[in-house]
Parts: sequence; C-alpha cells; structure tokens
Amino acid sequence: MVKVTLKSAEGDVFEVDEELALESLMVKNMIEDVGLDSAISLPNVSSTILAKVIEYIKFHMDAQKDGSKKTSEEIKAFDDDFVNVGIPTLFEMVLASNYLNVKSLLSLTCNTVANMIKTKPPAEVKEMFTSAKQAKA
Amino acid sequence: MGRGRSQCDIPDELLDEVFIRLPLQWIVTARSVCRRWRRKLCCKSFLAKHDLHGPQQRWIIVDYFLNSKGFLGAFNTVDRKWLAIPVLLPPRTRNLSLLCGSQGFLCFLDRQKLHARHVHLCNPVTKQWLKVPLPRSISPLHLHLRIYGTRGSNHFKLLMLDQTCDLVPVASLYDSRTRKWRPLNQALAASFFSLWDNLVLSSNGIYDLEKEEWRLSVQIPRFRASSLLLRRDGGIFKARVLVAKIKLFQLSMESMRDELVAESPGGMLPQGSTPKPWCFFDELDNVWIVSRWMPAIFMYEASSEQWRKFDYKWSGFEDRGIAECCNLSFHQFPHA
Repeated sequence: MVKVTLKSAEGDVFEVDEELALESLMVKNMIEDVGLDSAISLPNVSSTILAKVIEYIKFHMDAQKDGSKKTSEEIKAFDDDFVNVGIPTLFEMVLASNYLNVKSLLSLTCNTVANMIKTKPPAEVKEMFTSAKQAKA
Repeated sequence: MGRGRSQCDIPDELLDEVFIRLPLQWIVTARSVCRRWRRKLCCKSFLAKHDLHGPQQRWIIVDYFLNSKGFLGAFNTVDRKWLAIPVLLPPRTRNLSLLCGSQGFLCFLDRQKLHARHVHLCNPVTKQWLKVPLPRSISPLHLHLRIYGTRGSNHFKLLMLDQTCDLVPVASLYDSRTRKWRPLNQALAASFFSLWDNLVLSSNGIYDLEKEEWRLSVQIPRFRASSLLLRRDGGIFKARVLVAKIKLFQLSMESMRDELVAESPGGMLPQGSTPKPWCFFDELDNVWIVSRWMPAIFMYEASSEQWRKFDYKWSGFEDRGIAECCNLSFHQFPHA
C-alpha cells in the first residue's frame, strides 16, 4: 500500500494510506501536482485537528468497505460522538474540512454548528462568534 | 496552529455554509443583528441557495387576524411555535381571504367584491404582492383555486375551478412562465380540493400538476372534497369530528371503503356540533387539524401515535377564517 506523508502546522508528520489521503480533494490535487516523493505540508491544520480528520476518514472508509458490519446506528453514534467537542474545536474542524476539501466532514460539522445555534437568538450567536474571534486576537 | 492562535472565527464563505442550514425565521431575525449579516442575509444569491437547500418546514397559515389586525398567524409544524407575520394589504382591498398557498406564495381573494376579476398573490416573507387576472370574472362563492410552486424556483401554476354553472364546472390552468390561462383536462373539472405540493385530489383520482397528467385514475366514492386530505405518498384520508372526538380514516384502494386509522381521546374537544376542520399532512406524515370552532390546532403524531393540542397565541379569535399549510420562502415573484 502506497503511503502519503502529511505534515501539520506544528511540523508533526502523519503517515497515511494513499487511499485515505485521496479523500481530501485538496491533498489529491497536491499529489497530482507534486507527486508522492515529498511530505505534503498543511500549514493551516493543527496536529490535533489533523489527527481527528484522519480518524473520521478512516472510520467512514472502513464502514463503507464490503463486509463491514457497521450499522447506520453505529455510524451515526460515531458522528455524534465525533462532533461532541467544544465550540473552538468544532470551528477549527469546519475550517480544516473546508481547507482540506472533505465534503462529508464539512457538512457534518456545519450541521452541528447550525443545530447548536438555531435555537439561540441571532444576537446571542453573533456575540458567541465575536468572543471566539477576540479570543483568537 | 499553535495554542496561542486558536482559530475560532468562521470566515465569510463558511458562515454561508452554516446559515444555509438555519430555518427561514432565524435568517429573518438575524438580519437585524449587524450590517455585515444584513448584507449577507439579504443577498439574492444566498436567498436563492437557501430556498433550494435550506431546511424544509411546513407552516400552518391562518388568515383570521388579517383584515382586523393586519397580520397572518403562522404556526411552525417543526418547532411548534406561533409567529405573527405583519402584512400590509394592497390598496383598494377590503376583505381579503386566504385561498391557498405553496412554496411561500399565498393566494388571496377579496370577498367584498361581487365578482372577482383577479386574485392577489403575496409572499409574506418578502412582503411582495402580485395581482393575477382571472380568465373571466367569477363570483367568489363559486371560485375554487389552488396554487402550486416549485422549490427553488419562483414560477408557479394556478389551478382554477369555476362552478358558476353547476352542471359544467370549468377547470383552467395558469402558468407564470407564459402568464396565460388555458382550459384544462375536462375530467378534472368534476371537483377537487386537497393538494400535496403538485398533487391535486379530485373525484376522478389524483392529478399531478407538474407533469399535467393523472397519477392515479380512480373514481372516489361519495367524494366530498372538503373532508379529504392527501398524504405525500398519495394516500387519501378523511378527518371527521364525531361526538367530541377526532377520527382519522384512510380510503382503502382495494375496498374503496374508509378504514379507521386513529381516534383522538375524548374530552379534547367540546361537545356539540362542530363544523368541518381544516386538515393537513406535514413532511413527517403527522396530521394537523385546525379547528374552526375553538382557537386551537390539533395534531396526530404518526411516529408516537399520540394526539396533541396547541392553543392560539392570540386572543380575540374569530371563527371565520381559512387555514392553509405550506412552506415559506424568499421567492420573488417573476415579472413583479
């Protein structure tokens, strides 16, 4: 199995199967452009988040394989647990899945954010977004 | 990213990804939060995307307060809350009454006029009005009209049945693309009423307004249009109020008989004579029953087989009014 080396913002190196790496359209394009010889640098994704993204893709790839015994309930339970994180992490995952172009993860994380805020008054949500921004600055 | 630079802010293009998944009423309220959001949430391309991909929600619209208090009552069948939608009536109208609605377009008729020459279409969300002329002037008493809109498109069709001459009712179809009325399939002209998006129920079966063909051709016995309702899968139902209970029947296609599906517990309704209620299905196949004799909506939840009751938010209930169940949208009228 061909391996691909991904390098996070902190410089940590993740070695993954090529099949898994291709699930990210952004990485797929990079491989097509520069080949597999050097590590693919992802300066916008932290190690923590990259590890999570890899975990997500791996789970779903296994679940889709023939002979997988995962039920749709198990997959849903995994997804629910996966996004059961604090807002900062969730936002980082939205950004990372957009940057890496992993459509299913982008839609999962955006749905989660939408579900969290749809019952809150918009002004409160704006406040939430702004304080997150200030924490960043 | 290092610890010190945790990236929490969602940039503009991703904000869209989140906003697209939020319900329409949230979008409308959020416009007043700040200028940046206002620009974003009023932007035509965003609204068009939201109309096509946003969450589907059916609303029960009641016109009971329209002429006296200037608003439409809107009950959200998903979060089960009431909302008052203020509506400014078009000039020279006196007594507008709701006829039908689909994909955000509501159709009204001025009941004060002896002969209707046109109907008034309104999108209560965008506050737009559009006057559509009728093919001939008709007494409001003999006019039956249904509207059908497509999700993500601002085009619509109107189906009209003129029963001025009882022996030969005439059906006509208006298409907003051609802006013209034309006579329709005579078989449909017997009688029709309930509609699920593109599906119209008539005594001759179920007619598909989009394809303009019969989806189910069958003679429905003892067809009394106003008591029937249509489920999205084409199932035909009837709701009746009998001795303070609501009973729900399904018409069996084999036996052509009504089969009891559900029955509300006693004591939900007051005793006595009760006019026929307005009944609708929603996307989850729950049945919504809008009472004409007390300010309440009843619901039969298909998944739990439970009955529930929701009271009106407003006092001063007037028992003359019409209820309709449809989606709301940001659709702009074509050629408005």
